[in-house]
Parts: sequence; structure tokens; C-alpha cells
Amino acid sequence: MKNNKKRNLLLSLILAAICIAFLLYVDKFQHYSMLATVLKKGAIYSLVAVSLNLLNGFTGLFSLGQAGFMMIGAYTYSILTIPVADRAGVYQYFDGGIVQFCVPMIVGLILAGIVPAIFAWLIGLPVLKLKSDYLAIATLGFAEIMRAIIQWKQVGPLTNASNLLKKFANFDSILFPFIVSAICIGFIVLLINSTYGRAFKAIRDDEIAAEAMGINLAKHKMQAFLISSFFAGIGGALLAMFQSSVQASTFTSTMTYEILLIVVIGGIGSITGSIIGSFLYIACSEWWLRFLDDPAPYLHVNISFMRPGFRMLVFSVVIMIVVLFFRKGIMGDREFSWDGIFNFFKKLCKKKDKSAKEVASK
Amino acid sequence: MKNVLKVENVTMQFGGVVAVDNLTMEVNEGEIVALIGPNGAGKTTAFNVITGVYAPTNGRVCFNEKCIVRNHPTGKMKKAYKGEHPAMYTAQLAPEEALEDEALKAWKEAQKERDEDAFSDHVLAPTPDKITALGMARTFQNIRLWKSQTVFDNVLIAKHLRRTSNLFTAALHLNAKEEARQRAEVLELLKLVGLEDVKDELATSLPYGKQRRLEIARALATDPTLLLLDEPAAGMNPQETLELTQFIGEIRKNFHMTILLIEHHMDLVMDIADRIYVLDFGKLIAQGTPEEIQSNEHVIDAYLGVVEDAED
Repeated sequence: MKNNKKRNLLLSLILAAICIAFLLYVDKFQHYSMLATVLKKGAIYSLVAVSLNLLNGFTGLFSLGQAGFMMIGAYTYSILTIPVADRAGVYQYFDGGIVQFCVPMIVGLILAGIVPAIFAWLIGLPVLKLKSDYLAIATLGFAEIMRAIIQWKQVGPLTNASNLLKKFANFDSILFPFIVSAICIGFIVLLINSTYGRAFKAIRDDEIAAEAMGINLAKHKMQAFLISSFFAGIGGALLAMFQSSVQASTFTSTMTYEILLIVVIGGIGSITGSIIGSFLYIACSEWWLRFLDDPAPYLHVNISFMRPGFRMLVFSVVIMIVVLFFRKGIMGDREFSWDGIFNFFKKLCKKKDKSAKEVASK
Repeated sequence: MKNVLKVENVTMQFGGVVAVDNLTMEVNEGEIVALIGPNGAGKTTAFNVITGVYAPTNGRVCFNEKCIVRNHPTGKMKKAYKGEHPAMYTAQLAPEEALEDEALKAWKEAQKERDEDAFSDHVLAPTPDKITALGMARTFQNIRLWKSQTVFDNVLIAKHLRRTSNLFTAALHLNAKEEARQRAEVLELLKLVGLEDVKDELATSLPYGKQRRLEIARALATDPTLLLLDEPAAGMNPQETLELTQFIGEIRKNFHMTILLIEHHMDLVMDIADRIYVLDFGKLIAQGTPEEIQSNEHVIDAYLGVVEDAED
């Protein structure tokens, strides 16, 4: 057993070193490539997907407000970190806006988590009493309302209404989103493995039993909701940096569905599943399936249905296949572990041995 | 003998249906008390009122001499629910000077000592988790284990309410000492109830009898002083029922537990119960020792049936 632990630790360290070396390589030599884009966006979406998974997969609260919290986080971050000198240019229709100070990047990032958490607390008080579909509708409605409010002309001096926010503090290295996401996901993993994480799972499995065993439903659901929206907000801020501009109209419910899809493909209730799912999804939608949108002759045959938007059609078919036949997603509710991988290969070898023996005996 | 649970004039009405009608009962320390009655008599509803799942329409529940659940109907409903203590409502209605009756005064003082708000319209209806935290744990009629968790984790989660860590200290694993202590306690408990060898299996993969045992172990993990068992022997064969009877006896001995149970298996009830309450259509029709109940005509009419029937 102890040997295994040492081996696992060693393997994990080697894997982490390979990942970091790979990222450094991409950062240095392929800074503007599609690969770098996919890696950056994948890291950001991993964080948001994991935060949604904490709610949907681990606490059993079916919330669809994730894009709304991301938007609040993105706006909080960008409003607070635009340099004062640039404000006149950004808020050109609102006389430079009402916020006339600038906070450091790290403070902005933390506030980008705290402000959505405050909003989550406010709507959580009435909304968390609802169950399943009703909770989903209420949170979805909240996200849409927030999007409309931010675009409202009257709050323009604060949010720049429906105009772009830009020139805020940004990252250069592609390591940055990875580091922030890794810290946040690390915290969520630690939380899930603690006594609180077990309480969340108990609420998911059977609410009535959980309450009868002394778990305060209102308090624990609120905690999960706050933490989830906190990290969704940070994810939103990272996404703002990635796009280097923010506009409320990009945070539609489609974005929530994208994240939900990542969670479902990865496996509801699996952190590693969500991470694998988001890199796969982003790679497919941004890169690997791009050729489907290209109307140019392919292998000298002009395929008439390949045109912009066809990619999404193929994608929805893939989703339907996943939902119909692979309902558990890539990982189910299991997590990645070295022991699991070794057992998998051992089983595979045994099967081969068996079939070889069977052939031999015949 | 110390009074552990006291249910006073509890009425639970769902629209036109009176599920529990003016129920008064008590459980003393160290006793095993059974609540029996035909299907639909309101036994589980009574349990749900005691554990806080429902707020009663009228009445009061006291636990360890402290009022934990209370509801006084106001206005017209007072008359309808005046219960066995009409004095309570006259005392509530009459001004202080009008109380000349010494006995009534003394009674009122005694009431106030146990429950400061006894004569106000203040409703006390805590959620079930708060009542569990006071030291009352229950099991369910249809087993409600956490399905995706192992046997060990099922019991460990029940220890959650006895934590001292908050979300951040727990997430950052600063509560390692407490965690280790709780794990040791759970292991000890599983040894005592004989589930140690299956501790890493999924709770739902256990045979039925062991799932019942696990549910009782989970309830015990919350450190209760009163254990409420809702039909622990439901769906069990005679052999399993016999084992369960012994098991409940062991729990009482090892944990010094007071137990209130609902049961249909008469051999089990007559074997282990010290006192029995019989409900029929929400009303209490009899109470007493097993011998008294067995010979009570009302009970035979409503539930037990004639002796020939009871034997098979």
C-alpha cells in the first residue's frame, strides 16, 4: 500500500512537470497559435465547469445561473481595474464613468469572486427553497435579468451600458489562467473531500435523511451556492482577460448550456471529468471541428452543406449521442487515480491472456 | 425516573383529515416504548411531529424537560383544540388578577418553568436538524440510506453535526484531529453493530437486514439520548426479526438508550417493550404494559383481533 502511495506521488509529480514544461514551451514558441488559445480557454472553462459541478453534481442543486455569475465577476473585475487615465476613452458616452479609481489585479480578481457571491446570497435566500427544475428556471431568469440590467442605459456610468469595456489589467503568460484555475479547483477538491463535502453529497443523495441526521439544509445549500458563484465569478474575470474585452451580450444562456454540457460530457459528480470535458469541448468547438464551417472545396469535392454554422449542427448530434448512449459521461462519478489506471491495464492484460488461452485450448 | 420525551395534546390536521388527534404520551429514561396501531392510525405522523418534519396544528412536545415544539391555535380554533388541559387555555385567556384558584396558579407556574412561552401564541417549529442536534435520532419506515456512499461514509456523515470546524478550516484540513477522532468513533460503532467487515461496500449493496442495522447505526452516530425507530422490522422474516429484537436489546444495554418504536410485529413489541401506546384513527385508545394491552378489549377490537387470529 505504502509503495503504491510513493509511486502515485512520483507519477503525479512527473505528470505535473511534463504539463508545466509543455505549457512553458507553448508560451514561448506558440504564443499566438490555436493551441495556446484552446489551452487558455480550456483552463478557464475547467474552473467554471468545476464550480457548476459542485452545485449540480455534488450538492444536487440544478442551477443554470452560471453565466450570470460569470458576467457579474467579469464586470466587477474590468470596472475596477481599468487605469484611471484610460477611463475617459472607455466610457466615452458617459463622461468617463463614475468609478474613478483603479485596484491592483489580485484585489480585482478576489472582488470578482466576492461580488457574485453577494448576489448569490441575495437571490439564494428565496430561490434555494425551490427544488430541481424550479430552481433551474429561477436561476436562469436571474442571469437573464442581470444581463438586461447591465445593458440598461441608466447604469451606464457604472457598466458602460451595452458598450465594450476594455483596457483593463490583463495577463500575458498562458500560465496565468492555469495557476488561478489550479488554486481554485484545488480548494474545491479539498472542500469536497472534507466533512462539508460529504454533507453536500448526503443532501444530493437524500435530502430528508440528511436533514433528519442533523444537516442544516438551508445553510449547507447556501454555502455550496456561494462557493460555486464565487468561483464562477473568478472564472468570468479570467474569461474577460482572455477576451481582453467585456460585453454583457456575450454572457447568454447559451454559455450556461455550454458549461452544463461540459459537466455532462465529463461526468456529473467528477472533478477530473469536468476538466477533461472542458479541454475536449473547447478544442472541438474552437479548433478540431472548425473545418466543418469551411465551404472551400475539400479533397477537390465541393460539399455544399459545409458552411458557417454547420459545426454547431454536428456538435448537437454529438451531444444527443452522448445524452442517449453515454449518460454517465467520460468519467461517470469516479475520479482520475493512478491506481484506477493500473487496474484498468491489469484487467486488459488479463482479458488478453484469457482470450489467448481460450484460443490455445481450442 | 427522568422524563425524556413528553408529547402533550398534539393534534395534526391535514385539511379535513385529523391524522393525530389530541395525543398525549411520555417516554421515561431507559424505557423501550412502543407505538402500535392499524395502518393509517397516525403513528408515523406522530413521529414526524416529534422530529420536526411537520409543525403540529396544536400541542406541545417536550424533550428532556424542555419544550422543543409548540403550537397554540388562536381565535376560534382554541375551542376546537382545547385538549385535556382546558385550564391552559383559560389561563391563557384570563387576566392575571382573575386567577384566584391556587391550584391553577401552581400549575401555571410549573408550566412556565418548563416552557417560558407556554401561555403565549408564540409558535415553536424548528427544522428536523435542530431537533436531531438536541439528541433525538430516527430511522425511516422505507430505508433512506445515502445510496452513493459506502457503509463507513454513511455513518461518518451523521457525525457531521457534532463538528467544531467551519467550512474553511475543514476545507484546508485544519481539523485533522477531529476528523481522525470521528473516524475512530465510527469504526468503533461499526464494530459494535457488527458491520465492520462490510464498511467499504456501498450501502445499497447490503442485504435488507443489514441496511436496517446500518440505518440504526447511522442514527446512533449522532449521539442521541432518544432513538426513534419507525417500523424497524418491516419486511423482515421471523429469523431476521428475532435478530433485530436482540439487536435492539443490545443497543439499549450498550448505549443506555431510550427507545420509542413503531412496529407491527407483535412478538417483537411484546418481547421488548416496557410500555405500549395504541393509536386508532389518530386517537389514543389504550396505554399500558404489554400484558394489559394484550387483554384490552378496545385494542383487540381495533387491532390485535381475536386470540386465535393473533397466534398465527
